[in-house]
Amino acid sequence: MQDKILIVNDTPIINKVLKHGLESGGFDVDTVITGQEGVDKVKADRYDIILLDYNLPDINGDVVCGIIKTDSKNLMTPVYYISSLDKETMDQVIVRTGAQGYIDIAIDVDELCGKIKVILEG
Amino acid sequence: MENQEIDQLRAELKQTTERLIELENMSMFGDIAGGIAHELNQPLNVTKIICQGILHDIQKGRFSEQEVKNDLPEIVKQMDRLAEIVKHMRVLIRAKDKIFLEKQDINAIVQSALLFVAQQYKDHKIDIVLSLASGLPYIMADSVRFEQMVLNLISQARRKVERSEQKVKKITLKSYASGDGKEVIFEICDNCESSSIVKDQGDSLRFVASQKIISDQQARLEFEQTADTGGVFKIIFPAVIKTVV
Repeated sequence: MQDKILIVNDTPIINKVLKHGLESGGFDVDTVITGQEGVDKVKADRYDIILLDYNLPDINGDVVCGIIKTDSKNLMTPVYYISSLDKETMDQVIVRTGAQGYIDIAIDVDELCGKIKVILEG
Repeated sequence: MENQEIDQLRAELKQTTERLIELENMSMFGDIAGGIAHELNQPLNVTKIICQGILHDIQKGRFSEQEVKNDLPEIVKQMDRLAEIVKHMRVLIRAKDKIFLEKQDINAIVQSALLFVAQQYKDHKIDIVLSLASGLPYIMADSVRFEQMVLNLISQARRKVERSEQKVKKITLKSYASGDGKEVIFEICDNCESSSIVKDQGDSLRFVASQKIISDQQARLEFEQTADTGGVFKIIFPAVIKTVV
C-alpha cells in the first residue's frame, strides 16, 4: 500500500508539480489550497505525512498544525512545514506548534521523495 | 527676538524636520525590506519548482510537450510579477525633489503599500484590518509620496503595537468620505488602549514629520489618542468630484 501524503499549500501550481513528482516517486498524494480544507481532509482521512504551508490565506499553518495534533486519526502523523521562510523563523514555529520539522519549498522533487522515505522509515 | 534669530530658528526647524522625515523613511525602508524579500521569493520559488519538475520529467523520460505548454504561461506570469515588484520598488525608493499631484484612487495606493508589508505583519501576528469604502471620490495626490507616507504610518503603528501589552495586536486602516462628500479621509489606528502602552513619546515627533509631507500635498493631518481606541492618524484630502468606479 502506498504511503499517503497531504499537501496544504495555497499555490495551485506548486501543488500540481509536487503532486506529480511525489506520485512518480510512489506516493499517494492529496492537495488542498486552504487551511480549512486541510483541516477537513485530516478529519476525514488518515495520512502518513502532512506537508503544510505556514502562510495560508485563511487559517495560518500553525493553527492547522495545532488542530492536526489534536485529531485522533492523525495524532501521530508527522507534520512538516514546507515553506520559503528562513530557518530561524521556522525553528521557532516548529517549537511553538509541535511540528516535526521544516522543508525548504524549493527542494528538488527527488530529494523530497528521499527525505519523506527517510522520515517514514524512521 | 531679532529677525535674524527668527530666520536662523526657522532654518534649524526646517533642517530638523527634513532630517526627521529622512529618518522616518529609512526606518520605513528597513521595515519593508523583509516584505520585499518575501514578495520576490514567492515567484522565484514557483519558477524554480516548475523548472525542476520539467527537468525531472525529461531526465526520467516522461517529457510531455502538453505539460510544458501548460506550465510555461505560469513561469511567464511569475516573471511578470517579479518585474512588477522591481518596477514598483524603483519608483518607491526614488527620492523626488518635486511633488507631482495627479488624480488618484486612495484605495489603490493603500493596497499598493500593503503589498510590501502585509505578509510580514501576518508573520509577526499583527492583524491588518482593512475597511476601504468603495466608490470614493478621487483625490489629488503624489502617489509615491502618499504611499511612502502610508508605509511610514503603518511602520510607526507597528512599533507602538509591538511595544504595547495588548493581547490582540491589530492595525486598522480605513478610507471614507466625509458626510458632505467634499473630503476623502484615510485613517490609521493602532488600537492600543492607553493602559497597554509601555512607553511611547514618539507620536508628536511623527506628527511633525508626517505633517510636512502631507501639507505639501494640499491635505491635512490630524492625530488623536483616546484611552479606548488608541492613536488615530487621519489624512484628509479635498475630494475631486468624479468618483472611482
